[in-house]
Amino acid sequence: MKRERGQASIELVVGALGLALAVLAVVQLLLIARARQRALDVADRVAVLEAEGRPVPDGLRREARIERRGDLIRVTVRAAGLPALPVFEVREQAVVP
Amino acid sequence: MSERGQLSIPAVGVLLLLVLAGALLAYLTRVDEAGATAQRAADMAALAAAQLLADDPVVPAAALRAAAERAAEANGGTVTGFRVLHRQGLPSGVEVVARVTSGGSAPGAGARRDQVPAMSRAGVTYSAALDPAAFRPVDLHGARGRMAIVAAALAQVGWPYVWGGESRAEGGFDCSGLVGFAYTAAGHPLSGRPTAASLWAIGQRVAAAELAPGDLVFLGAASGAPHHVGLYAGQGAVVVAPHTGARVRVEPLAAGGWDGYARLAAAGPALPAAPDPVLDAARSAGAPAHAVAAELRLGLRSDPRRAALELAAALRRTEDLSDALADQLGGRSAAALVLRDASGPALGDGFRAAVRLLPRPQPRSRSGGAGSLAGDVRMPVRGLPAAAGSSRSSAAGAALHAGETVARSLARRGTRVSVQALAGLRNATRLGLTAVSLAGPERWRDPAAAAGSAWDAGFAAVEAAAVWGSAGLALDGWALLGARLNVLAAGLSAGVFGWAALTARTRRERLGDGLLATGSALSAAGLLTAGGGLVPMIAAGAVIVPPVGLALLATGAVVCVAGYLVLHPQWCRSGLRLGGRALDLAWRVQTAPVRLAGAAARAGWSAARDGAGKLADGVSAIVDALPTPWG
Repeated sequence: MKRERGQASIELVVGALGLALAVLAVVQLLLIARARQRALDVADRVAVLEAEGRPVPDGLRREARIERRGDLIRVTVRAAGLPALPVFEVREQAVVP
Repeated sequence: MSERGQLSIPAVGVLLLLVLAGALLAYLTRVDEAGATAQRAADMAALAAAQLLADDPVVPAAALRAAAERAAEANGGTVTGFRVLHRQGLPSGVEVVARVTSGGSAPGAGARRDQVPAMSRAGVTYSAALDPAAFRPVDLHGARGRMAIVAAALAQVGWPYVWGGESRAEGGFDCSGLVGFAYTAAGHPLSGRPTAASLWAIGQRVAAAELAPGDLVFLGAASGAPHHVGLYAGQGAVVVAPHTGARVRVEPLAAGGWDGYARLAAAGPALPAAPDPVLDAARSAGAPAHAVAAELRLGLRSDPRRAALELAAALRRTEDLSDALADQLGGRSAAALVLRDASGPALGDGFRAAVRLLPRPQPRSRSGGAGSLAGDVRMPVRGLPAAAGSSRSSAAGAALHAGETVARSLARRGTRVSVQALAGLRNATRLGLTAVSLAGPERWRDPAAAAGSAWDAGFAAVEAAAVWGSAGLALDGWALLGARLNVLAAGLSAGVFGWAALTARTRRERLGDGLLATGSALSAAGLLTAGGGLVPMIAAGAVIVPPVGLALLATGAVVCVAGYLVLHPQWCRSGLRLGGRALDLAWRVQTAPVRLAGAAARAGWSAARDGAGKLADGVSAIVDALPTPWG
């Protein structure tokens, strides 16, 4: 019985750690996916605004780095990262007519 | 050994589910990104074509499509549908369908390459304003001669008389100024700044009965130095800038008291002119002829008399020609296009065009899609994939299609309403799960509680992702009360399950209850990261749960789900069996055509073999029946 109890607690600890790591990985992936969606969305909106001849609002510039080179618009969004992980940057670009 | 084996089943089940969910998520993300790319390609294509249309409203549709194709290609898409939108018979925008190819693989559906379509509409709004400091510019579209002079003069009908100048800036547009302008606009400029007297001096005298369009009529000619001049427009009518306070108008020849008539050599010989219904209508109605002609050229009106009468009536209501045209035609864009056509390049910066993306039309039923490209396109909803093609033949495709249909029907009801309805539905469902887990039938309590925990994990993760990088999720009102109740319930649950784990008799119960206690404690801790504002139950105010707290809440809920799975391994077995059956069914459905073809081929081969055998037997019998020389 003692041996089984010891094995169970090891399973519990390893399982809990694995589960926590899996959850953290999933959260990080979700954050990156969200940043990518945001970059796509910002690139779309900036491209449409530029094509319509309207100014890009400051709100968009605050949440993404927006660069324009000729017809090319490049948007960079920083994905929120969990502590101790490197900073992830997601880039997206659009060509304005 | 038995318990270890039982424990491995839920672990494998969870792992498999995680892998499947991850693969499906990755696939959906790829398709969703393809949808976003397709939408951007469609948007840019529509805007490119609309910009071209803004620069030149009469540009051919082929050139517009070419511009759209270039823009779509630059953004990773291909144009598969294009049409020019019209309002009141005039081009008002473009509609573009672009497609992007998405590749990927989905669990149960295998590798797929889908064409993801998106549709976009861009509209062009035209506006035109006349320079108040100048005459109305006139484009006679190459016309010359006496009728062109009359048309140019008629274009100024309604323009205010100001004595002594040739332009508003100079302070006037008087009777001789009108004559000088009309001759110049028609390509027969007069030297110097003409006055009534100077025009009389250079003109050749004619009798009233000999007057031809473009000739001049004078007042005060008996003195040798007339003080007023008008332009004879034909049909017994004169165009004249009468006096201060009045506007340029058309009046009967007999009403003016004219006492001298002259013909300028610049107008050319008075040859019989071909009948001009537009000029006749404008003259008799007292309307600017160039605008009436433009309305007819653009196809906005077909009856010149009706067009002239409508415009004259509108000009009586407002003195500005642009406003009058908008009043008559029911739109500023149409008015601007008429003014542009009537005024020509001289309108200059007075003509402007603005390009904007238009809201996409709601998708119609298949039978109602005629006349719109939208009828041929399944609209991608941002956040949901627009799977097409082979997707319908697979389980994943059917699920995607169903989800898209639900999202589309919700969107059709309006975002605000659908969001509120979804929130209400969500809260009611979550409350129902809690009620069942507390007071429902015994066998439903744990499933309901597990479903509630999974629910909480999903929403907390979504909220955490949404507010990550900001201060957090603000809670007040009912949400604050709910959070306080959650803290209380989670704290109590942690205690109860912790005690149950300590007193459990089997290892499974200890592990399951321990996980539930840990999960509940994590959830409570996650909420309590908002601070002490969650402890008092009835105090008003607001708290902010930081993203880390929401992540803890989600983690706690996931741990709770794991606890329930440990306590009920049969769920995992049932889930695995169900998943296995689903995969088996998907496999059978997808391979059905191949298996059917194989069976058909086998049956065909068998029949052919039998037929060949019978044929051989028949031939053999015939050969056997033939007489032979030796027997």
